[in-house]
Amino acid sequence: MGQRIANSSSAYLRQHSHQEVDWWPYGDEAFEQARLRDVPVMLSIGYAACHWCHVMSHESFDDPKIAQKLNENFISIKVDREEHPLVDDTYMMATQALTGAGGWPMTIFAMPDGRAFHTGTYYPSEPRGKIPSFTQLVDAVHQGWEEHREGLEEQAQLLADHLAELGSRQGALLTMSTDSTVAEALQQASRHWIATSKAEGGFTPAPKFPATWALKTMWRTVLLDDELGAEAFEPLATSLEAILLGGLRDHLSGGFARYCVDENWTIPHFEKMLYDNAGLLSLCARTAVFATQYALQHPQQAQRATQLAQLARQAALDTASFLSNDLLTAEAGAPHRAFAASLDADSLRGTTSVEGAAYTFTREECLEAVRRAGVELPTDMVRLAGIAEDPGYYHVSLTRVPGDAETQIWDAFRAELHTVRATRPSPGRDEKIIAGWNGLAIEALAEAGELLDEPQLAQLAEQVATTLWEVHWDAQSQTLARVSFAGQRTANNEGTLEDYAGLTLGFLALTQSPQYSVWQERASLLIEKTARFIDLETGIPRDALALDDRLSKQRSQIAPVTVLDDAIPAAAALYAKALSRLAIQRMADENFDDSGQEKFDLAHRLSAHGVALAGQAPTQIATALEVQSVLDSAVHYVKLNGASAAECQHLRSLCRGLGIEVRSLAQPASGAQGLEIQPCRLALCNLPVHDVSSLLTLLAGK
Amino acid sequence: MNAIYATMMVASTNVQNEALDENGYGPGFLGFVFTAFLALAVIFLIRDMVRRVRRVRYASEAESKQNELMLKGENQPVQEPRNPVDPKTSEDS
Repeated sequence: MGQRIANSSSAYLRQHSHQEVDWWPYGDEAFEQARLRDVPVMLSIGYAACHWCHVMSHESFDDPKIAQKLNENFISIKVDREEHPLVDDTYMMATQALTGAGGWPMTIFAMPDGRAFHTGTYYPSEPRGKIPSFTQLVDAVHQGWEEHREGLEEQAQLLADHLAELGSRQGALLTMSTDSTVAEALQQASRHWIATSKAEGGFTPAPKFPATWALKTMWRTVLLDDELGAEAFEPLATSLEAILLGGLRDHLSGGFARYCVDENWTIPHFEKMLYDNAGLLSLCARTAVFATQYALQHPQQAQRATQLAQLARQAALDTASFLSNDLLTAEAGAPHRAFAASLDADSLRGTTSVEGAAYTFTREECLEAVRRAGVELPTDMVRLAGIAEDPGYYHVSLTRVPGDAETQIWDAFRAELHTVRATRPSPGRDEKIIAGWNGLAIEALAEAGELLDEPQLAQLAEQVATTLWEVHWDAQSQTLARVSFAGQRTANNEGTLEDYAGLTLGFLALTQSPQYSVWQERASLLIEKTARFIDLETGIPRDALALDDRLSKQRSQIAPVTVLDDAIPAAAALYAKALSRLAIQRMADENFDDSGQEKFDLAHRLSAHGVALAGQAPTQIATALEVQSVLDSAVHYVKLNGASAAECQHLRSLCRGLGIEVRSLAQPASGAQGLEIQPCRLALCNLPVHDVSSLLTLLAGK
Repeated sequence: MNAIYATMMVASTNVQNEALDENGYGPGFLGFVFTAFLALAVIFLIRDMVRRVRRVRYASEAESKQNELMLKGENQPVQEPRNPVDPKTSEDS
């Protein structure tokens, strides 16, 4: 068994190839088999780094008795959600519709044509309370299939109709309009975030996910809104401190885990995903710049803001190191290096795979690290959070910002712990390269390089961008592949809207490259091809150019479009952002023609719901709202002159963080002395201003 | 209910100016009908399971003196739900 998935490009599928379950990869053949054998399909959907997927796999799919039942009565399909995002999205919608929640592993029972009739997530090997064991579930579904087929058919169709209804609403969100201005919407959203923020950081109940996109957008209010800015700074800083000091952050190797499992942000779920780290790198880099500016504007908050800026800068650099050291595939100097999709939560301790084994320490190991470092840890600075499911092991994080002298102590301590970690088996890495996620990482690295004046980050970004262009882009068919593995594109899996838009953003961020114009051309080509995703009848983009027969049946042929931000910004918002940046770059390069105006207008249309929904679901439309704010800004680009190097760097960083392009002023006003910042919007440039606060006043719309 | 799902349901319902109930069914109804059809006690919603199978996930410890911190500190378990699933979002747990 397992031969069909043993050589898959997906690490998740390969993880199951030893089992006696007769796994099929997702595709026509598997469903055709189900139809021929007249049995239902069991789809098991997950991803390589997913801890509970491993648990269910070990408990149930490793069991030969369960394998036999599955083989006799079902066609079993393993789906890597990262390879097939639309399959995941479709059945996730079904799962959320039936159960009110969703997650992974996701367990779907479907008709041979793909319509689900039962959905769930993790099932235990033994019944728990009223929860069935996986064996009981499999038996029940088989019995239902034999004895109540008509009922299952009816339910499958009811669910498909419901998803079609939801799908049509999804597209309708993009056409929402409102009388509110962008500024009012940003205020509405910020008021919501202020009102729902928690004292311990974050906006929602545990487990804690970083609200990356909301926090990025919230900075605009903090810097540009006199009325709400100071009020918004407190919850923004609290959330950022929780993310930067607490257990979400890997304080030894850099990078961040996907989420924390507790209210106080002390214990992470240990899986590390490329997309989270791209988003948080970008947030950290911007925070380093914005908090520095905030400290200048608000002397009474200067200490906290300055500390936050320092903390964020270090976290950004650490995250970039994590990307480079732990996620970059292939050896240094090898061709086609890019970022792997994820690191597993689990790794070996001895012969047993344990969640967080690479990341947690015993008290003795901590004490030994203190001794070897030759330091005395401040008593109130370090938190050891015990893992109840792994007694005797603790996750190390900070309780507060270390002072200057304390930073050295902390650095010495964590360096010693890192040495201990280096002796342990590394968590498994999912080596597949996903175009959109790499695009977001390229964008984040290039921007961080620019904002933090660390050119090597932008160089790494360009190296990865080159790989994506060479491996994922097929010049002959003019298509982008979503996935590659070991330097080869995987066939028959064209990129989604997220892939096209994400990679366009990555290319557009390479502004400091000597090859800037080449990347501009490539980005323009990608964005031109992305136009194919727009449905000509409705004017609404779709996540994919075509749905396969199963998904089409499940969604009653309504094409999906991701409109709301999740762990990754909504695909539609990424598309709007890419259009917006390209249009504004063309303005700044004095190349803003009708095609530029069309892009600008389309970006506006595709993000307008960010304003309309700001009061109802600000966290879900944060990226669209940010795009609207950039488009609506009084300044799209500036021309700089006469600044000192330090002044120029801060201004450039501040502008880039706020979505403003920066160019040098070719001909300074005659007789002008000192700093000149000429603000421009569309094709119009105004008289220069001479300091940052004047620029911010303009941006604030005053 | 999951925030994204809820947003999709509610926000676009508002804009279309039609009540959800007019559609005749929502997720709760679907769940109900489905479980009724299978008519077996084994089909239950995951979220119900989650409520029942809450486990103590972790014990976190605040600071104390250095050696106590490293060697002698008592764990003070804090009750937190740890669901046997990697949730899609915070609301899914």
